Amino acid sequence: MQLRKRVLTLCVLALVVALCQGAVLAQEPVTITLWHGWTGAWTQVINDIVEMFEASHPHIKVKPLVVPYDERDTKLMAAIAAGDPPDIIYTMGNIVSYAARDAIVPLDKLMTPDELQVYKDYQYPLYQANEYKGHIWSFHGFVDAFALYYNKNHFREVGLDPDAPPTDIATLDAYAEKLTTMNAAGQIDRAGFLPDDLWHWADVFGGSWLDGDKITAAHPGNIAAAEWFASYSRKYDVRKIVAFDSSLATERAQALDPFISEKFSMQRMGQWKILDIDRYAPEDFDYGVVPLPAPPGGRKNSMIVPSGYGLIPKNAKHPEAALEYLLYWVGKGHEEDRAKIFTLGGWFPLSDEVTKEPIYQDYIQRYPHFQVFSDLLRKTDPTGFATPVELFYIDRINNARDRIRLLQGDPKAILERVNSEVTAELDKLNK
Amino acid sequence: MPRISSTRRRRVIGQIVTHCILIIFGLIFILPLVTMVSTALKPDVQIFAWPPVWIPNPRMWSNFPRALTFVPMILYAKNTVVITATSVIGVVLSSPLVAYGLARIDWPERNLLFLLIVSTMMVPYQVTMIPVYLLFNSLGWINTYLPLIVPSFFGNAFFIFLLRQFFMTIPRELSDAARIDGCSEFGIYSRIILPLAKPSLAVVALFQFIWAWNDFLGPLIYLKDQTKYTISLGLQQFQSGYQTEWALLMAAATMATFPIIILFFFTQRTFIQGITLTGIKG
Amino acid sequence: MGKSSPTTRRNRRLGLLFTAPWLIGFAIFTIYPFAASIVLSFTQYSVLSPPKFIGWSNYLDLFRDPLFWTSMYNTFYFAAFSVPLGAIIGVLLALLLNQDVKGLPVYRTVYYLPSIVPVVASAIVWMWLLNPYYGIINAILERFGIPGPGWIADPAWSKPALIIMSLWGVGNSTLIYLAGLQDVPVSLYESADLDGAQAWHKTIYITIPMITPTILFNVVMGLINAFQYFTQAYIMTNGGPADSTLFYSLYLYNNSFRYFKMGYASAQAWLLFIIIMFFTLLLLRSARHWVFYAGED
Repeated sequence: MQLRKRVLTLCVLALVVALCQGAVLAQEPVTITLWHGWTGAWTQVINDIVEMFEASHPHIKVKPLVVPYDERDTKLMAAIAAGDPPDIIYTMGNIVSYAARDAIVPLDKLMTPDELQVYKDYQYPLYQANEYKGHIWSFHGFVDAFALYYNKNHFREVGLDPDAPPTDIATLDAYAEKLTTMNAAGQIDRAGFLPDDLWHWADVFGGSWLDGDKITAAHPGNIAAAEWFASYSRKYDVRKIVAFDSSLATERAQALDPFISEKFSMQRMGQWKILDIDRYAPEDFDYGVVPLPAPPGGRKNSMIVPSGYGLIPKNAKHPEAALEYLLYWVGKGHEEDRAKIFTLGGWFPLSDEVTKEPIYQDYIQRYPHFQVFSDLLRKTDPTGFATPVELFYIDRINNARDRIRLLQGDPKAILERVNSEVTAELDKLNK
Repeated sequence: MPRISSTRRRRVIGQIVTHCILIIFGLIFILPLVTMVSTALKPDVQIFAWPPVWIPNPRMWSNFPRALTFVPMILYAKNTVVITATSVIGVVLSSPLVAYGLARIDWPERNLLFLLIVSTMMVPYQVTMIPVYLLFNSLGWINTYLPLIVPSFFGNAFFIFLLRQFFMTIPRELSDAARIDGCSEFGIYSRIILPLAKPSLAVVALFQFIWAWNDFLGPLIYLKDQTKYTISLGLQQFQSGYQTEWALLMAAATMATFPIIILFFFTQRTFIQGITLTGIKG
Repeated sequence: MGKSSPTTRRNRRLGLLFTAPWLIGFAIFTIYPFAASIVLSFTQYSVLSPPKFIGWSNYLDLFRDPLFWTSMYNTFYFAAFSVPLGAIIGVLLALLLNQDVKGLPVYRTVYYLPSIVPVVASAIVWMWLLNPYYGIINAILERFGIPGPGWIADPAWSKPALIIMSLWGVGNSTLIYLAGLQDVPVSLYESADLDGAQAWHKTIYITIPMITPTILFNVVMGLINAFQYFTQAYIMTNGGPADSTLFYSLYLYNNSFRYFKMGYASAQAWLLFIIIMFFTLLLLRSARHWVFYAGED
């Protein structure tokens, strides 16, 4: 009897000690460092999110650091080289560069199957842009989408129906011609439309920059887009276009928007411009947004998506805790809070669950143009851009675009040169 | 009598021409400052207005205090003052010493050393940035101001070169005479050369001040605490990938620039003493 | 008096003593990064993973790289114009600001402003001035019947546009000249006056020779900086249009931090070092013939 009681007491004591230890361990908070580029008013948004997260995850503390946009990668690289990277960093669209050089953690290895499902559900259809070589490397907090903005006042001015924007390239070209005006000196005063970004338009024309790992810069769709760029230069005289571009440099130096200052009647722009227009445009500014017109055989609802935002560097001290934070962003279980974030800035939600939250639906009433982008997201079959030499490739594409617009050569030859340049780079990397 | 008046006339014409040239080009040179202040005072709607509005109406003076709270600029300013003042002291203490060794002492290897010093400026910083970071990391100086301050106490190649040139214009006789009088080399340095070099030392101080005040990359790479950030990092925070708070940015930039302008305006006398004061030599 | 005469030994000791701060700083802060980057130039190094030794490959690849040659050409072009122009304008401005003219402190402050205001503000102003539609520069050219070029968006004129903009920063060298002008002994001017010299005579035969030490400084530093010209192009044109403003240091920056080719960039850097050193030595050698140091025999 005595022995049994003593053994029982010992067992209870042992249990209590074990529980206490377990409790202590569970209570020890882990601090994760988070680097992001959300400056200005956005910093408060991030701090709010951090507060919400810490409230529901008492064992994790988050230390955010604002790192100015431009040199974030430089700072990250220095930290990685020194073996002291942050736990999470939000970069922009060059995840594959890091993944291919074995510098970040493959997130699917950290996630449970349930978590993986949440990830896919809430980031559909864009999560594929975060995949490379069979692993998932980043989260999409937000995505940028581009559509055609058009100035309804200009349409009325030249006798076009402001509620019938162009839906194919031929119409776009025809309208552009009608909307373009010249000044007294014979220079372009207002451009109806000028193609700008070859990288994206190639996708609209049914082209493709990559085929798996292979570089396909000279894909017929890309060449078709390039020819289309060149056609504008021929139609409007290269020198006039160059002069017009130069004149826009003044505005661009101030990050002003030529569409808002009515130098363009139609232009391809991102969804965040909706807020810019609301803030800076004059009262009588009247505009519409429509998905980018495509040529026959091209892609309607084109969306070319660079890789996402949140990643975890390889030697991060607390990758599991970091993953919890990243998953929190996705919004499951707190869709309303998540929806609130989207009412604060120029982004729009990825998942249906967040989109249908009343707080966001109200927002759409205020800024109906966001609906176009939301719909685009649901209709699109997004194209990715996953290659380790992504930044070099983009730079060469932009150079090709310059040369094509300046009529410095045959578009096909120019793109073939890009193909060999970038393939050579890729080969050097894989050697 | 006629000679005096024609000289006088030429002088007056010369003055008028000089004024004209200075004013015409001066207008261009003052344009950035005018733009900054003008934009800082604009309400949102007028920022995109064409033709540009020079004197905004209404004038948003509130942008100035707003800029100070949009980003914690006052804290950043305090940090910047600490870094700037210390590095100016460091540079002014160390660079003249080295320049003296290169300019006022005749020893065989001095030109080689001079070349070595200048050559350190010939390597683009991009490729030494990472090893430098690793160096400071191994010293445990990351997330402190030490990488930004300590190196300035060991001389700065640009200033050493500059001061060497100045020191070499001071006549040898002055040093020789002092040596004959039994003055130590350091005595010559501190009592004869330094006072004569005041204009160039003032230039060094001003340049280092401006450079440290505006330095962006250093603070960006080494600091991991937002409370330690500097003005230059603060100004960057008015821009995001998507948009720039132009009016506030210009307000903040104006406020950040004014200390330097004031400093320059009132200390000009030190490095531009006026022709009449330098009759000592020769 | 051989190399190791007592005087020489004493002077060497003193020389080393005075230059000790730099020598110590060099040993602590500079040797390692420089040595590291030389070694890295023989490796493939992404910064994200450890370097891999590849011998001379980087250097050989550079010579085969068309962008290397393009960026080299752009940089030489820029240096060839900006260095002489900067030197001349700097001296002229200094002479102008050294006159006995009322309101000088105000003028000097105004001309120094561009060196102080943020690059952003300067960029805006220059884009106005160079605007083909309403910019002053094209307006003036039109007056003379010259069709204004497209400037910044025109690959043939983007470099000249940047060269003109670089002259903006002339305030720094002017300041140094002004400080140097104070060292010119008044007595020289006085005796020249007695001889009946004209103003421009005095300028050419007294003022300019006396400031040749500072001219040498500004030209050498101008050269060193021109070859590493980067910031304006990075902010305003990003190498465009069509790589016409892809300067050597910008390409180097891209290789370092965009393309993850730090080893390649290091090779670029040390090739540039050799080039800058070559021209600097030429300049310093030539100094013997035109620079006058009052403190030397």
